Amino acid sequence: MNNKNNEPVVESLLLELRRGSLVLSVLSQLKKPQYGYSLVVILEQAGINIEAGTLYPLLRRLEKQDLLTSSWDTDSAKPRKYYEISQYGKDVYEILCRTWKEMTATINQLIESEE
Amino acid sequence: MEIIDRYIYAVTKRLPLNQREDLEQELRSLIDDMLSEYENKDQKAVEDVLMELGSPTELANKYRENKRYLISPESFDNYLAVLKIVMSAVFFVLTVAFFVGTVFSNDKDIFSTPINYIGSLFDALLQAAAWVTLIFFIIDNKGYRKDNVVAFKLSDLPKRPINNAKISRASCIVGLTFSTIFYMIMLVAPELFSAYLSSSGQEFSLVPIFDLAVVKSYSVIFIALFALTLIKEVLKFIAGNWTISLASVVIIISIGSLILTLSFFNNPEIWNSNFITELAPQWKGDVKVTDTWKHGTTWAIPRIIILGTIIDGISTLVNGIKGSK
Repeated sequence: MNNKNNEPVVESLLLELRRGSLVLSVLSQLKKPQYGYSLVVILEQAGINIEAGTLYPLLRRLEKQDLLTSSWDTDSAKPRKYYEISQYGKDVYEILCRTWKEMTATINQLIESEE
Repeated sequence: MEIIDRYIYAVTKRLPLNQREDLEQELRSLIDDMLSEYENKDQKAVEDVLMELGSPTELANKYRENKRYLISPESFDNYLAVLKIVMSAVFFVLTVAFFVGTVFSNDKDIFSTPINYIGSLFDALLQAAAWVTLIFFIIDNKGYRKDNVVAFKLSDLPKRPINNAKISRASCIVGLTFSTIFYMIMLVAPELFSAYLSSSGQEFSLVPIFDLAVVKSYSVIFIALFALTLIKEVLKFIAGNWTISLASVVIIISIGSLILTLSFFNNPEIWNSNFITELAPQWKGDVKVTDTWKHGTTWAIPRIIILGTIIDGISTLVNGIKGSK
């Protein structure tokens, strides 16, 4: 069995696994306004490796879905776009968190019963 | 820096206008922030940052909000089915038209016709495909996709086709082709049904079986007959399998065709009275055969047609009963 040849398969499976939890991670950090790059740094420090090129479009999409609000900060030297979670976003976040906890409990049980 | 400008331009040019300005600002501030990680904000640092962001095409793709296909996955099956039907229809019609056209053309150049045929066929097929694609694209975008997904009901499941009541699609096409050719000839060039005599070696003269003027007066009948045959074969083609209802409709159409056909053949005047006389010199036979011939054909042919129709009708009925079990 050539496991080395299946690297792309493993990679894509890992990507899918991470992708599902990304929105939850992002929303969890937006109670206070953040701008794109600061969010990248925070997530990286928390152990979630996300590229700016992925995060920025995601933030746009979440704003379009009314989960976030944005505003340009033109006060400081560099104008920056700040994102913050909306009320609707908070409600959705509650649901996501609950589901996440239920899911992880279930899956952990599945895994442990097999070990 | 210039290279940053070029990069940003490369990303934004692929995206819709209303996004561009906002996106440009966002990208500039992002690149700036990423640069702040580097001590030396030199050309090399800039290049590293841009390479980290990845190819402009991929980045633009991540920002893109609309769907990335021409025909949606839900509609694709229908699209393929319609495409196949339309292309076959175009192929069939064009082929018949070319065949009929060649038969009637005065142009004796037999070599250019196949080339014209292939050229026209290619053009027509391409256009047909383009139109089908365009129409599906428009329908897709009107949002009919999700709204029209009807709940699946078990009663919607089609009955399993019974193979001995199957209609051969090939025979429909062949039947329709021959009928088309026949009716076209009767409409446009009934003189093709003739005896070809050669006199003095080189020249051919035609002795038509039919009286051309009388046949012309039946044009409407032939058009109607063609239409009936077309409807019948198309219905059979689409159904694919015999059912009682299909059989009933086919029989009704056959009866209609029979009536029309009989109205033609019952008229003794459709035959060319000169047919026998002009052929007589070839046979060295009895000229008085003319009248007998006219009335003989007028008697025999309708009866043959009626007999044929009855036999066909019975077999259709049997098929219909088989198919409805």
